[in-house]
Amino acid sequence: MMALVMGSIAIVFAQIGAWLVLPFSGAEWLLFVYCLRSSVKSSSVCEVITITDSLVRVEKGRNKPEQSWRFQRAWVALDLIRSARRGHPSSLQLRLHGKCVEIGGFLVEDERKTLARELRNWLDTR
Amino acid sequence: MTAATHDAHHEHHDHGPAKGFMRWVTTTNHKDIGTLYLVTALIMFFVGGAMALIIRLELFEPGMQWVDPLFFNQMTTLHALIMVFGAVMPAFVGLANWMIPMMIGAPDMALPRMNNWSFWILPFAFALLASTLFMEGGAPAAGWTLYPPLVLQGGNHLPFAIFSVHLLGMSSIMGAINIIVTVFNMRAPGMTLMKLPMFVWTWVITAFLLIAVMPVFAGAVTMLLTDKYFGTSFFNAAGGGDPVLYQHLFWFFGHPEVYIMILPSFGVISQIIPTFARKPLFGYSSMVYATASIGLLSFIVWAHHQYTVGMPLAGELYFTYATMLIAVPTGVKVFNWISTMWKGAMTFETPMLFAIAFVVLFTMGGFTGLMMSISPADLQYHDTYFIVAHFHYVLVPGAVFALFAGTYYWLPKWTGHKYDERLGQLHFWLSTISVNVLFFPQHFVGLAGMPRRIPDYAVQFAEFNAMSSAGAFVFGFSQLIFVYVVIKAIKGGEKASSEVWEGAENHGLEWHLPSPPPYHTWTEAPAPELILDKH
Ligand code: HEM
Ligand SMILES: [Cu+2]
Repeated sequence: MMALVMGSIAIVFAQIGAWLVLPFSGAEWLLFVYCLRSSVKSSSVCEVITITDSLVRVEKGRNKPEQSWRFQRAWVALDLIRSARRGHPSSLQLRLHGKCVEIGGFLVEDERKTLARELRNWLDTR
Repeated sequence: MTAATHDAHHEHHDHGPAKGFMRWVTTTNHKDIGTLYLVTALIMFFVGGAMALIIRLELFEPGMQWVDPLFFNQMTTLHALIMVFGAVMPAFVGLANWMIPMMIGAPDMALPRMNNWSFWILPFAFALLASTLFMEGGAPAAGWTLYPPLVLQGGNHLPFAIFSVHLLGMSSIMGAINIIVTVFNMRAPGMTLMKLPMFVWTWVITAFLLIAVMPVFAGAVTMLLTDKYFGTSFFNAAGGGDPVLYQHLFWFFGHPEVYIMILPSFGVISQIIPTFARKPLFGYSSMVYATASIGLLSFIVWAHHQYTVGMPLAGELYFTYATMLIAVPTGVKVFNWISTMWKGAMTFETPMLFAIAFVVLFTMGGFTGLMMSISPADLQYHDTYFIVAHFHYVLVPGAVFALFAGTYYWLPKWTGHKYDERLGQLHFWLSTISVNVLFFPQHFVGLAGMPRRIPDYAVQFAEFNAMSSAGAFVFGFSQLIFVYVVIKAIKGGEKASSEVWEGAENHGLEWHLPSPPPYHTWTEAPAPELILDKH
């Protein structure tokens, strides 16, 4: 729709001689599509963490699980690593035997801390 | 146990506010960016206002007293460019940044980093524009419409002014894209399109207008540049071009542009009147359709700015009728505002006073607009002070008053403090009286034939111009009260509740957040029952 409207405006003006409108319309259209797609894409990023009696499973994907990791619940370690540079985001990781996955990377700092606290509770109690 | 963490805004690895100056440079937080926009707009309002006062000072009496004609024309041009692109538009983008996420139940804007960019382009653009004042030949002086061939005959300012306009345009486009993406992609569950607050609706439509017309403007000014420096003749009759083509390009952008400045005002007013009338907005869906129709019609009326260029009769007739058509949806809106107030339990705090003044004075500006839409009559009004009076009625007690109303309305929400109501009312009365003293007499001198963009005039116009200038100075200095009230509310004062205004919780999601709201707005989606069917 938008492409149609913007395209026809630009083409009509090009017809009457003002062809320099076209590149601006085109550039703007590309920016618009890029922004819309990147937002839709990033808002469909999803992580599911499942804790059973013996396992911790992390699934990541857009709308559906695309990657997954499994850890033995008894031995998995949870680390909240502060960034070396002040003001930069921390990173929350599940680790076991050199296998490591970052979780909650898209959360804000407070939410990541809450998530870390809750997970720790779940992992310690049985 | 299953814990799902859902990503609402992925680009945003954020944390509490950083400290000091860098907080503002690097921020991607919608509230911080909203504040930056609003503060910048206020500063530019004073810069543009100072230029207006220079103009009015020169026009206080006939003859040349203070400035030379070239500088006078630079002042009219810069005043307008700064007010339009520096004060009114950024102020509305600031309101959008603050309010849209809060109103639709989103944690932030959809594209927070682009949001940071779109703000930080502005200071550079304004610096560039202001620097032209110190160049050989001075700043652009051909009026804010930048018509060729006049604008091409100035000094060295052209590339700088045009680059600055490009930057301003880019900033607006990024702001508009961000708003559209946010509203389409980040609404809380249950917030359907026909439940969006009117302020959000008017901004979405405005954003589409911006996206549609900005490239035309960018193209037009680029052609000015190539005409001057690269030997093209888009607008040069000697080379087979046509200067009137520029006018068509400019006003194809320019007419929607004036709606870009007024539609968000309609939105603000549609939020405020129901709150203080303690009733839902009358005719919500008709408001949405009226706004959309105004948006669509704004594309097909541009040549009412060019009745005098010698269009074919059919063109004159077409643009006359098309323009008059806009009065219909606009009338619907005014009717709905009045019906909302009808038999309401009204109180008259400062935001409501400004909103009511908006409805009355904007409508007056609308009526003079109708007069000018009649092409044979416009041959008389064209390029006179009648035009100046008309567009200032819709821009100052229109757009600017809506901005004041919105600021007073949401200031307690933003700062957590009530503002000084007595000073607010003083600001209102001084502004409303002086704005009429300032612009009403201009109708008369305009009808009597005083041209616009002129530093000197015939003695018969002396009295009305003196009145107008006196009004201008009172208006200008009254705005210092506003600054004082805002600073005072930021610094402290009586604590505001989350609802702020009695019954406001029935008028929008933002009133369910604490005052001031937390740094991250809706980290969890608002409960569906909070989302209103009726506004
Ligand atoms: C503080 C109150 C204001 C005063 C005293 C004021 C005064 C003036 C004056 C004296 C002119 C010159 C008219 C001429 O000689 O042709 C002018 C032009 C103009 N003003 Fe204002 N103005 C004010 C606010 C605004 C605002 C808020 C806007 C826009 C949002 C605005 C937009 C314009 C425009 C577009 C022009 C036309 C410039 C041109 O002819 O190219 N003004 N104003
Ligand atoms: Cu127009």
